[in-house]
Amino acid sequence: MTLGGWTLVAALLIVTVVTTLWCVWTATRLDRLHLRCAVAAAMLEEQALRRAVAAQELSHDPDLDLASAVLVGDAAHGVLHGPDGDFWQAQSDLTAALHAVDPPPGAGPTREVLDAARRLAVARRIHDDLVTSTRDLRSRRRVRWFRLAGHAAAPQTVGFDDRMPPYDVGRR
Amino acid sequence: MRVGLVCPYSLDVPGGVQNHVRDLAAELARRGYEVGVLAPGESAIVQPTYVELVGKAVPVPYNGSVARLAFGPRVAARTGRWLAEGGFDVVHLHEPLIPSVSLLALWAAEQPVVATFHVAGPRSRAMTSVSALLRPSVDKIAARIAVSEEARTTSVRHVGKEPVVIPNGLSCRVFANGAPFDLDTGAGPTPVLSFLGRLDEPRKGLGVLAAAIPTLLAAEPRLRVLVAGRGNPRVLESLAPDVRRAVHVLGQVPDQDRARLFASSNVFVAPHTGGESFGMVVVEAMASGTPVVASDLPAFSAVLGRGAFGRMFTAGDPAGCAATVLDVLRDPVAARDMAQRAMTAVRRYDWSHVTDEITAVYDAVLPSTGWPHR
Repeated sequence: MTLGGWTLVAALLIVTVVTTLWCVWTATRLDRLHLRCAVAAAMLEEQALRRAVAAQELSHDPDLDLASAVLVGDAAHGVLHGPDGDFWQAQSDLTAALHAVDPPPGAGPTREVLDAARRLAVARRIHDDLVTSTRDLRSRRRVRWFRLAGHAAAPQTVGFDDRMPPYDVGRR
Repeated sequence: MRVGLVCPYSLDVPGGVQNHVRDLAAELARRGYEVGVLAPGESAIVQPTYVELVGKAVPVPYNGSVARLAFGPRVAARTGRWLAEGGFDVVHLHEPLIPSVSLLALWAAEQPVVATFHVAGPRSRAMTSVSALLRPSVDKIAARIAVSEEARTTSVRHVGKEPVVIPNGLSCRVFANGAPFDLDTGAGPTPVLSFLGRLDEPRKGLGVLAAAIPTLLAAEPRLRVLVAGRGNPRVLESLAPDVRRAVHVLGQVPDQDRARLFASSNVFVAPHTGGESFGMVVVEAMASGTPVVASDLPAFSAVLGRGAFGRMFTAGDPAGCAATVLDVLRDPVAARDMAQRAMTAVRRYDWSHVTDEITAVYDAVLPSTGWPHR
């Protein structure tokens, strides 16, 4: 074989090795991202349930008028016991119900609802950021060519209204 | 006797419960009762002096749909003040479990409470989850009224207590004397069919009627269809242009024009597919003397005397709807007899009768008759 032939073989070998290394590295990264997405989703769900429990507590606050209590209690129940398919819609409904009512300022349950709503908003931000970067990586051409994502299902961002209720909780 | 009526829905928008409260209040006032009405609303529409508005109702998701309700500390305080200053002997709440002024009035009431249940529906999840919150207030209700057997079943399921069934009221005289619309129908007699209800709410059944229209036109080429109600008539867009030409969309007609709509029709069709607890629109058509063709919902079947006062077809079946309408159009003598029987039958829904029954309930809960109350 001529010198030129050897150079070509060497170049091909280098390209193959580099590509293989890149593939392994990217596949590992994708695998880790999918795992982190799953963990973030579980945490998001936990925070959503915690907010619903806090809302249910608020609905039992004796200082809240009964109509507001029923609205919030019903929406919280929708999150905790509603049909599975409607979980995120139930979150938006709870957000709307929490916005509509005007609980007494400084009450313990009011503060807990606010804290839970803040943690839920953070959990959602973390989850959706992770999902977005995972989906970005999955959609790259080389990742799709080499099927580096394997059989893992594409993670989904969650769409729901996570505004903080505008409550006055007084001074801490 | 001083009676306080509470309506949970805004008087700014039309609705069955609002109309019921308004008409009942007027009839009670006419009979010499001292009446007060509390309801959400802003004073854009002039109300009788006995009406007190608590302010704008806000839309909130409740029990699977978005309802316009009034609640919160200000509304609660205002409701309490209205009850305290009104000096009512009896407080009559409508839809007491909807989280709005009715529920707030129930919460604060120290007078004997009469409650009317208007809605029929599946078990509300609110009633299971927040029943602990509601229980003390629900126990204050001295007498329950349901507007129909359907609403009665709902009340028994939610509250576990047996209500008195008193139908919705209407003024038969108003409906019997509607002047027909001036329709440009060309030469010769034209059969007219009418529909009244939300145009974009599937359970009101405009889609069923729309699917029946081609068959109807094939048999009765001169047929005209009047479609009245709020909303976007999107289901009519699928009709072929020559079929669509037979349909006149009137949009929302004011309450006083409902009688005119019925008077203009040879047949009134109520193709609803569900969710009706009383069938007010059918009763109104009956009172006008217009032959009625309705789907076989339990509420409609009840007011139509199981078919004696109007013809019925399987709910949601356009072919059945078309066949039944054609039957009625082809035998005008039988249709007129049926409509006459219907006009007699609906007299029991006239406010003169219904108010007697309601005031009998008021009398039954007065402390003087020994009713134990707080």
